[in-house]
Amino acid sequence: MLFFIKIVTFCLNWVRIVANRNKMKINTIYLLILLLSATMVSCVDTYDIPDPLEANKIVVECELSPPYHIKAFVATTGNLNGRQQPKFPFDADIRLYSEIDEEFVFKYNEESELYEVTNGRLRPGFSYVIQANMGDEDNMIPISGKTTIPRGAKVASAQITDVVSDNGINTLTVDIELPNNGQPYYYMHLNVSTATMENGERVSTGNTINGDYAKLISDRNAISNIIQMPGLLIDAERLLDNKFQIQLDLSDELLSKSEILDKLNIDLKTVSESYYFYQSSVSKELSLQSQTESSVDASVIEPNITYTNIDDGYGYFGAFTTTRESITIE
Amino acid sequence: MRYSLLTILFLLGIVVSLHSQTIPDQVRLSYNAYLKPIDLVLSDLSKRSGVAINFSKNVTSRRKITINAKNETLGTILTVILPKARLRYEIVGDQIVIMRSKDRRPLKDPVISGYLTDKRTGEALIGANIYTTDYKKGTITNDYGFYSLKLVSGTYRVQFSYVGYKIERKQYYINKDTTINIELDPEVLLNDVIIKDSRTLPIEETSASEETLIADEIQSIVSLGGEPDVMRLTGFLPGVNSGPDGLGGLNVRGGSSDQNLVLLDGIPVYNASHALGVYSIFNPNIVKSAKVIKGAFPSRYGGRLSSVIDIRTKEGSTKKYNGEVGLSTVAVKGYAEGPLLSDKNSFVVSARRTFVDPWIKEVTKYLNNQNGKEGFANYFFYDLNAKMSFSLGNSSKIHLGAYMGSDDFSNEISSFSVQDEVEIDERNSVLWDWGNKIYYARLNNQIGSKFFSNFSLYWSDYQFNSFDYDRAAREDSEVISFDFRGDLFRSAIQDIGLKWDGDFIINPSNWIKLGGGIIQHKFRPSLIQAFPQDFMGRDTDPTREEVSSLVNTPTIDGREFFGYIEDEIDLGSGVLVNAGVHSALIQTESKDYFSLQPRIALVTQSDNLIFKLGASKMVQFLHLLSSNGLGLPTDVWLPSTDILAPEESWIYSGELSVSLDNSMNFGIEGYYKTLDRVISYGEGGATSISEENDWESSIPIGTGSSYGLELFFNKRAGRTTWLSNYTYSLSNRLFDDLNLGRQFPFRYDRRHNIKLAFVHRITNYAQFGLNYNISSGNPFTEPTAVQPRRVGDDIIYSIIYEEKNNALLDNYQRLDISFSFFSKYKWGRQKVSIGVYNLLNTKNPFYSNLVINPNDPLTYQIQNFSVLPIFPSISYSLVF
Repeated sequence: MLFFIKIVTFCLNWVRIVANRNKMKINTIYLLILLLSATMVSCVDTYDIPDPLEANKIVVECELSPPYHIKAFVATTGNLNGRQQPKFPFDADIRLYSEIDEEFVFKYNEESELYEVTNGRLRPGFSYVIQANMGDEDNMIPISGKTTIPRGAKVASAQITDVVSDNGINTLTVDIELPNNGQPYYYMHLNVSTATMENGERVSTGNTINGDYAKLISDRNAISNIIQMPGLLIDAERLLDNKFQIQLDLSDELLSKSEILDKLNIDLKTVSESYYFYQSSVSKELSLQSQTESSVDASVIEPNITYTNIDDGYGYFGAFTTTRESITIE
Repeated sequence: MRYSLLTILFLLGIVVSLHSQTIPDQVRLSYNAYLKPIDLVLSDLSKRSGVAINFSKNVTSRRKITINAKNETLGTILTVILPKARLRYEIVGDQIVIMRSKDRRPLKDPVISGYLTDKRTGEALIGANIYTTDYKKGTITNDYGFYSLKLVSGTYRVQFSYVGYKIERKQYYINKDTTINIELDPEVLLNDVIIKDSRTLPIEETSASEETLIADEIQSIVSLGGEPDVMRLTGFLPGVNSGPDGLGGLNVRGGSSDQNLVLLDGIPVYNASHALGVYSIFNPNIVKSAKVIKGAFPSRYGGRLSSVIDIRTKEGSTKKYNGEVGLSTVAVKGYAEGPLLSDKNSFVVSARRTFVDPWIKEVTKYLNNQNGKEGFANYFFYDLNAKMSFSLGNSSKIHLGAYMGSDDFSNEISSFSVQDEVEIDERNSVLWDWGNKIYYARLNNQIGSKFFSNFSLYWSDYQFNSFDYDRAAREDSEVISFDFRGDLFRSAIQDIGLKWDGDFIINPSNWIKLGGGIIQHKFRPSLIQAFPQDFMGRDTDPTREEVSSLVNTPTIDGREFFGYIEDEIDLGSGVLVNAGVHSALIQTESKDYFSLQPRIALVTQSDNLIFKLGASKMVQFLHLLSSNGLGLPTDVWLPSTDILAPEESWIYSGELSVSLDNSMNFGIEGYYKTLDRVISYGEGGATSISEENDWESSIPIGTGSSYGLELFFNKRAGRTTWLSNYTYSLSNRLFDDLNLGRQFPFRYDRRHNIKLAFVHRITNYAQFGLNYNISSGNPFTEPTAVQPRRVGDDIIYSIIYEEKNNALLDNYQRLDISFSFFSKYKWGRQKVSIGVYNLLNTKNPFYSNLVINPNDPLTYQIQNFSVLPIFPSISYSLVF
């Protein structure tokens, strides 16, 4: 103990002597100590990310929709440190197997830059397995995925329950009831089918109604507007009685003042779980990217967890079946 | 004649009476009994005194008697014990005959009650022991130094003790309700070098998972920058975690920082930290004691899920004026106390302010200039506590108190550069300020000898404002382009509360606490991001006020009614039970939430072994929306609403501990906790909170669980004291909307944690302190690769995060040491502390961040942020 006190006393004396020699004020010494501490306090170490221990993986995004829509986007992952960039192979071996042992081989379409199957017919309610392999030279693990094509279902009911006019903009309230068939996931796409001009002429607009024009009223987070596509993702299990409400603003961008809406189309896709979660994940990712320009700041913003249902790889293997319902406006 | 007859009868009566007094009053004896049937007691007395005592078994009941008589007459002893069994005695010849009493009035045991205070200052002593060595019964003082102990008539040796004070032993003959106020002498005169007598440690703990920290311990711990801190000491308890160096608040047994009920003299405090958690708002000079409860919550506490940190401040000396001034590496502080108008009233005031702002300004200005930029950062905090206590006679007191504190941080940087003939004018500004204001009035009443009442009325205001903006203007010969982004976070809560607490001390074996109250909350949360399109046509920076004008801050009212009752019962044989219920009714705009929260704690004590069990349900009206990442400026307090229901938890805990020579104890404690309806930010960007959007629906709601084992080995008295412990814990969260619906580790889930806080008194004038802490790193979400995605006809590149909180930051390790030197003079005393915080200069990670490589925009790098490496400090205080 005595030894330590001597050391401390010695140090203090030394500081005093040095200060006197250099005609430094105590204030300056204090400033130096604080400066030293402050510079050490802000410790930010930036370093390169080491190469991953595992080889890069195959990315497959494949959608099935009966009867003939079988398309896949294929790539490989890249390293965060940039030493290995993502690749977009056009000679990958991609195959699709149905539960009744049908086999379909994907072929690369240079125009669409997607892999496609042109000779297959898909069956709703059936399960399918996808397998992909890059070949030996890429040293990548083959991937596989499984999905079941959901059966199509029509909207149980859809009706306009209210029309409010405010500052020349009409707002329609549409009550929608989904079918009660145990199917939890949907993608819904509304568009203006036809409108009548002031001169009585009917026009097909095809204008899509997305979240910019709609206020969604549902139970907890059951309906979400997604960025990458003009439609809504629906988790029906969160809805009470399978019902929700949309309030549509028929603004100038949707309908000109000379047009009167007389028919709305409701395209309802019954989607697989993987489709729902993947599209939801992409939407969050795009939202995140729009907010973080220079960095992916995991410290302040919740990072978006990447969805995949591909074994040993990334991406998704999903399916949907589309039906259409039209509402005629009286 | 008639008068003569009366006179004769009167004289005969005196003779008979005199004769009857002679037998029992001539025999003296000592006799002890503890809960012994009265017939056995009478038999004992008959044998020992040699006087025949006749009684019928039909007359005596199975009433059990406790008595402690030292050289008392047989008559006195009988007079004390017989009324308890509704009996009396008569002298028949040389015998004593026991018969039924005709008096049917209810029996009443005498009660001793009063206050224990500091002899020097008159300060009430909280949690002091009152113990009758003969009767082997004891109690402790409540939060106002009041005690009440029910006894049977007799002579008692009563011991009054409190940690750091000399033991006072007195003998009393008690046969009626008696007020005994005791002043205890401090053990030593050198402040901060108290050698605690192990006999003064609490005689029993009636609540599981509870620790009481006294001012002495708070002052002794090695501190950052020479500033002792109660919350930092709390962080040394097992099961209590925090972000590195206190940043991010305290996390108790897997709970988040908002789940701690921090009370300042019974008033809830929303933000208890300065410098984002590095220091607490509690100036150590004014803190009298702190109670930390981690589980088995008594019913009187409610409103938070994970812990209670009940901090009591001093009332001030009623005897003389005292003061203290202190200077540490970071702050200057002062303290004054003394009598107010008379020796019945007192005041206390303390203030503290950092004084590093000029240096921070200069240092940051210099560093910015080195990087070709202009601007500087600035930071300071202050706090002010004031309290006045007025005595209204012997049994009532009014306390008026106030706390004000604020932190202010700003960092404004600008730069100008020319690239490819384009002039770029960039400005970055960060403005944060937050603080609390609390005003309260409290009325304490002692009603009779067994009832203590406390009314509190308070108003509290908490504000957090943060405004960050980045602005870049690019100007070439023809075009001015303007880029802007502003983030505004605001969290404001105003509470008005009225509550009443009552202590009804029926007897030493039965202590009832009950109370209730109402709190009116007003919340004003807002969270918004502003972009250039919000300020089209502008070529100047939008101000904070202009960005504020974009958001229509919602005002949300909430009302909370609560009531509680708890009964602490001594079942005998060393078994104590504290059972009760806390109920709350929470009213939101259109929904009411009612909850009944049962609480129970069981403590059994035999010799040196203590076993505790506890279970409690807790409900929390408030939510803190906090990022799972860093979670600082974006933390927003939210009330329960129609959609956001109150959070709930169930906590089960058990403890087994062994006392070794009274000063040391060793034990193991286990807990399991479930959390329901906890909230978090959603994935995929910041949440917006304003009147216009349906922000409640976008907030994910989930559940959590945590469990762990805590081993501790403490020595809290003597020349050398320490707190040492090891905690193994797991804490998880599960949200439908986070981590793809999979369970993930809580961000402060530190699996292993070893802590040691050691203090050794070297001489009367010197003290050595050491802290050591090593623990597993905090979880964080680690990116793994870059994934191309096809979106429409485009390809975007995403960072792959496979699992939330799937990796661990490096282990946290810190060693602090300090030496304190004391000197005493006629006019006062001095203390000098020299210390080194983080002596090993470990770069403890604060958080990890993925950034785009400035030299190659297609690649990423990792940035690790660490805070508070080696930090030497010196502090000085002068007490007068």
